[in-house]
Amino acid sequence: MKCFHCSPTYYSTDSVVGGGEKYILYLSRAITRATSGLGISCQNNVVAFGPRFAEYDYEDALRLIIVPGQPWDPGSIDVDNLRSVLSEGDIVFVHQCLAGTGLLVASHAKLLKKWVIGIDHGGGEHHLVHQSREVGRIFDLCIAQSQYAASAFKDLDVGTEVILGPVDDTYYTLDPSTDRVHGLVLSVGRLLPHKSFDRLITALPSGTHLVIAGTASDPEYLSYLRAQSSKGAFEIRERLSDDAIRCLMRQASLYVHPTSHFDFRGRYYPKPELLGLAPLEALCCGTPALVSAAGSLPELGSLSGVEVFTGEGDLPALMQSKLDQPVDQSLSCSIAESVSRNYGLLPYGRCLLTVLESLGAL
Amino acid sequence: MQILLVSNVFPPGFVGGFELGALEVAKGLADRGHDVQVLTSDYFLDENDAISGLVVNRCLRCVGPSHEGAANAQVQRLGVYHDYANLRRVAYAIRRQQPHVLLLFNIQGLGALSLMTMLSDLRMPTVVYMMDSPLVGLDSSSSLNCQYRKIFGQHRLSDCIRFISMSEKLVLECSAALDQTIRADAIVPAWIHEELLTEPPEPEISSEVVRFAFCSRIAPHKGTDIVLDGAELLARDGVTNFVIDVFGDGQVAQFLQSVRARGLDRFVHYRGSRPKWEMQKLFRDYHALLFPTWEREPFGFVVSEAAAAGCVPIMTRGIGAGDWFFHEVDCIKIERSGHHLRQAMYMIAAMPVDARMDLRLAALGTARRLLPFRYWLPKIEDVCHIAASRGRPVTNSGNLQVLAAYQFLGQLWNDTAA
Repeated sequence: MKCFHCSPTYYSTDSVVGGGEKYILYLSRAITRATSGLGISCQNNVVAFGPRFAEYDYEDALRLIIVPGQPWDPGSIDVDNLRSVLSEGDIVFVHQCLAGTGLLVASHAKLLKKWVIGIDHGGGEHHLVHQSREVGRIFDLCIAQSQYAASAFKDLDVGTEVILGPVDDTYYTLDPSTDRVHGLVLSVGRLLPHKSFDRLITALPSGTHLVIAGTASDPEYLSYLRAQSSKGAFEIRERLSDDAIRCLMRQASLYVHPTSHFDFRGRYYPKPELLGLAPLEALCCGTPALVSAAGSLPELGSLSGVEVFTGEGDLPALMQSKLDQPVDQSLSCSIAESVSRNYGLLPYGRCLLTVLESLGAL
Repeated sequence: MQILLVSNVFPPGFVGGFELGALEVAKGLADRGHDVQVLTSDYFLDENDAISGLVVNRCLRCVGPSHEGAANAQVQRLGVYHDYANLRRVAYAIRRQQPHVLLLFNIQGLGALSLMTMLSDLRMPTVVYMMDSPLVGLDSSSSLNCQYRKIFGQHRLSDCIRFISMSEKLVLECSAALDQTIRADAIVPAWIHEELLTEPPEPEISSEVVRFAFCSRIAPHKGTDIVLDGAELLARDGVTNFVIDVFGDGQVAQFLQSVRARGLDRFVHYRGSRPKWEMQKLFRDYHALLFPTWEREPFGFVVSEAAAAGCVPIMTRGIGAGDWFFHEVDCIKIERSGHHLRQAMYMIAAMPVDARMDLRLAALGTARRLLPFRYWLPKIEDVCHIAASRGRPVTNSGNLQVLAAYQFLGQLWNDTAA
């Protein structure tokens, strides 16, 4: 089975370090784990867009192919090159499937008679998506990573399956040798306005220290955040490696994910979170989490160690309450086990294979 | 076989021989026991139910039924390249009727390129009947073509698309437009109907007046100006024993004004537009047909019809009909100019009566021997069988998926060019 994961951008400092890009890596790992357990040979490839054609090893058993074109401009993409690449695949997973680039890839994959699976990561929607249900028929199926993500496909004539996750629970794991730092609060994400780190700073209880780990993607917001220094003890750590972030997750006493549908300027974001990868990673490390009620985040409330805050006024007291509970080994194990069971690579991969099989794609 | 015949326009109205040919093939195949349904545009309606024995659905949109106006930007985009509305209706007809084969006649003005590629993507057994290139107006070096290819990718047709052509020249023209070598399963000339034929012309004793006929669309590309040039030159040389009777529709007013302006009323007479069966009878009374049409004329039905009645075709060298007739044996081939037409007219006028009759009978013999419809219809039917046996169309759900892909790519193409 040869799978192509097509996305405008890919997870790298050369492209974008974001949840949508990281999801692709987790998806391919989940497929690899599930198929190897069944003795099915599977090859995964990531296809993204850049200034010139390139092909190289991305990570174990995963190739990255760059097709000439600007990631978010479908009219710029070298279609003949793209078709040549896709012609070798069996299944094409189209990420950011509602954006123009995603629909272009899906159209050509379908004309090449491939199985075409759409996945949205909130990367925008081509206007045709709002005008025609029929355009959804390009896809054989759309997969939603949460119930909330499934709502993105409501206006399209396409079947949707919700498969929660995946999060790489083989990388983000418990580490009994790392001690928790009392009062250390962690929040991870690209430094974008809808991530609402500013509200978290304002709500910090005294005696706590907040680390915001992420990549600055909006200079105005970064300045705004830095201007909040009088309101709480926090530091911004940019461009940390995945290993460094995992270390922080293992040390933190609490992980907080304060994303909002409205940013500090009042601007509206319809899909601020479609999964919540960073809180899931923290949970895999056994760290309790507080998440906002934006997007898909309330769905995490059923997991062990997770509480959902609905109003900003509740946040300081909830944080204090969570921080007052010691994070011992037993609690951490319970949290990690809960998230792995529901969102881990293997259950996700098995569920995906079942869905593909019922579709006829396997 | 269940056959879905697609044509940009369909009688009772017509622009030229293409749609009349489509009607004859549709009726011929139906007479041979096939279930033929026609999908066409509302460019011509049939308000008096003139077409009987065929189901004709006039739901397509045709933005330009011929090469005339193909330079117009709107006609180019919708007519030559992509008209999603038409793709949708054709795909729907396929889902609903499940034909064994699609028979495409003239698809100019329907979004010809994406119609053919979509049928290829649907793996629909299809026969493209080329009485003209389906891609007239497609300039492979134009920016529009580059934009289209950038979105849709390289034009590509699979082998479920088969071709019948009136000439090898058309095959080459279509190959060049597609940038893909195509081959015709059959070369089928413009035919004659034996049941319409009359007795051969009576032997001439003497002929004081030489009678020429022009019968085609009244338009410059068909050579109306050249006919007038030829007549004017001949008259200027002192030859006055000739008449030219002109038949057809088109730019008649301009033509008549030009006749008056050149002082040719004595020689050139407009006789209106006559049905095919009547013309077949009338040709018997003319010595020669004047057909100085443009060089890319795919064939010219009128050549076959005139020849079959013993009316010697004087035609532009290199047109499709020229593949079936020999110069000065059963026709006269000329370079396309008033001067060369005048020479040919003079040759006919000055020819001894016996020699002229020999030439007329030679034209008649060639046409009646090589071009009967009853001989060519089974060839057309054979190619339909070949197509139907080679392809297996995608399922109805697959049909909808391919259509959706064309919907998006077409939208993107429109957005890009906007």
